[in-house]
Amino acid sequence: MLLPVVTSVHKDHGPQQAGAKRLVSLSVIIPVFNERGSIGSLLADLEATLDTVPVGAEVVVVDDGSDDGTQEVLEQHRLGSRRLRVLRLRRNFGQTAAMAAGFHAARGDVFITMDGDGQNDPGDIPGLLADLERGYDVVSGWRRQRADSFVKRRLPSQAANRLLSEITGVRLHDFGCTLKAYRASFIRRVNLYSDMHRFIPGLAAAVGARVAEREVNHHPRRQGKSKYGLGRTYKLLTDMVVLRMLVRFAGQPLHYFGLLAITTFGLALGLTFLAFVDTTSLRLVNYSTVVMPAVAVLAFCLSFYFLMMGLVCELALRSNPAREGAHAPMARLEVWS
Amino acid sequence: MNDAVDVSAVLALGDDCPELEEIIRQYGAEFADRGLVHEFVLVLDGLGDQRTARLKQRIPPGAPVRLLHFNQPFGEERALACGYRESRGRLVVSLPGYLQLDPGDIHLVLDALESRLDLVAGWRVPRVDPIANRLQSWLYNRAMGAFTGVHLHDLNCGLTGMRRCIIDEVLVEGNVSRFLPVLAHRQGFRVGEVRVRHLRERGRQGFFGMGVYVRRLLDVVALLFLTRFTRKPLRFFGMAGGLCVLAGLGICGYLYLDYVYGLSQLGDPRNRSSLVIGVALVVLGVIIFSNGLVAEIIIFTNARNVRDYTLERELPPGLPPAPPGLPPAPVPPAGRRTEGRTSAGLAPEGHAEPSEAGSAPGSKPHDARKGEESRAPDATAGTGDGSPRGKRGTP
Repeated sequence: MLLPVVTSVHKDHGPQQAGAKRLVSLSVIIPVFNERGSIGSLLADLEATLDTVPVGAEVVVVDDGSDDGTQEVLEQHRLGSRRLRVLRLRRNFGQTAAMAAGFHAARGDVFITMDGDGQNDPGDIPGLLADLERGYDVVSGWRRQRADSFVKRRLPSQAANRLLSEITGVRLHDFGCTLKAYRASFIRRVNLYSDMHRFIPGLAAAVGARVAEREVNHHPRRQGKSKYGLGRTYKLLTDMVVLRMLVRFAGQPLHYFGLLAITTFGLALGLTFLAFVDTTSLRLVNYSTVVMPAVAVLAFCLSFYFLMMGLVCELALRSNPAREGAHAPMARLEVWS
Repeated sequence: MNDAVDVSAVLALGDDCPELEEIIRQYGAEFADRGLVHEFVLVLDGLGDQRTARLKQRIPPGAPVRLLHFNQPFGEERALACGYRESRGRLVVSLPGYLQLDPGDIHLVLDALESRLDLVAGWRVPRVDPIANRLQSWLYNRAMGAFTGVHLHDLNCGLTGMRRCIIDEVLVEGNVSRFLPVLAHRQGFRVGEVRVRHLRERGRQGFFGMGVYVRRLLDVVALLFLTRFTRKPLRFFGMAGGLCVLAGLGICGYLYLDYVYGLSQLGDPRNRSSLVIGVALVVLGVIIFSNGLVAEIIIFTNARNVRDYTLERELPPGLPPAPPGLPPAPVPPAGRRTEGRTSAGLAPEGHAEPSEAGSAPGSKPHDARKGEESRAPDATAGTGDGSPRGKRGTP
């Protein structure tokens, strides 16, 4: 029995009580890159936890081009497991791509993503599932007691989380936590590419998902090194600009560029005024016949350019045959009988 | 029928190819030596009736040849891409349109493909063409290596060998089939070179026309953009636009300070032409930046059809699922290599999953990805009618 698409257009609806259906099957997705030391014990813990969960489960481990012997460890576990599937990518493509590979291959009605480094605790899975059964569509983990260094990881992370909350309109304390649970129907709606995995809650909310947060355990790294650090600020910043635009305007780009066009048009009018009128005496004056008119014309050009851009975007969007699925909000169906 | 072909040799022919008979005989003999079932796929790049007729006379009787006709010339790159798509072999090699290389060297390519590599690029050593050609070729290959991070010695060699998976997963539309080794390497396929003997060079000697270089340069720009910034265009446009805006704001800021504090006594900025330059720079920067935004929207909209990764293999659990009271689900053979298959292509034929064993397997969720599943088989579709179609998504 497949789970019906249960969701709402407005994310501030309370959790659904009566209609919440039992979850049917679960896919745990773990991207790993060179985690020989920690993946083994993680998989053992995970299998033990999944044995206690009342839904059918599969584990999809995506080996993101590891070259440290992770492959052999995975192979060993796979041969002794009933639910472990192993995907191997051709080279290291990055965490988002690995996650996307896992999502494409997974077959459950619910997806849970975890880090392969053993910092997430499989013991949190039942709690996440319970939240989904309460009617949420995305449940994000919150590493309240983070076991990372303060300056290098936690401080920048706090700033980024505040910013992301502002931009996406989804208030979460910890966007970066990999341990998250999703209704599969939403993940299949969110296009995942290039470093976007952090933004899934925001993108899912943009198509109508109800997002919740739950505190999860966080262990210090047992083995291996962190693959992150500072020094990706530029990427993160441009990503945020894009995210803000996508979350609010991906379905109607003309609104975005139209607003820009109107703002610029106002600016251009102001410049025209400045070109011919002295601000102190409010009388017509004779400035250079070239400079200020040229500046005003540039501003007008920009304004029309924005308008045209918006139209081009609309064209690109509307002419895409897949558009139906891409941006339309998902509605919650409630049947009275 | 399709499985029967081991090797497809693809030739893009821009003329009526006086040596075609020799090429087919010699390479055919080499393929036969290895016991490989082969075919020749000839793409006639807008030859017209007369030259086509002449060319047909040069095909040895009984040779396994398939002809693809373009009504007008589209250029070697796109002809090759079309030939690749319509070829049916497990391995595919492109051949130059005249006896430029020693046919015996095809064995080096095939050996490499059958043992370890997914794509093999030819490397002509020693070159026999004039020093000017060699010099520009050397420069070109060095520059491309530096740009793309994939160092190959001879990107323009007419001989390239590849496994089917390259065509299914790497080949993209546009004038970039020349850069297939670069694209393949970036997607994680194993790419290598073999040295082949260069017998003679029939191409243009010395320097090509200006147009050739300009077009090549534009192709390189397209390639750079494709390999580096496809998924995140704003990182590229944002950098360029940001610099422009900064420069413009710098000029305007200076003018403002000058106006307030009278640094240069040139007076009101509204009379100074550098204000126009500053504002124009800001406007230009904003335009560049918003082009990036537009590109992002297009990417996001189409992201359903793009895939950021290539799958080397997918392995199911080692033990069969055992839900009590249900018959065991069919399990595909463990350890099977799934070269050239994407996960979407695998999903429908996969084994039943424990949790879904009692339900209709894979009905609804997979529908959501229909667009992707229909993508996989299109490149393999050997329709056999030989019509040159460049369309995708029509299996």
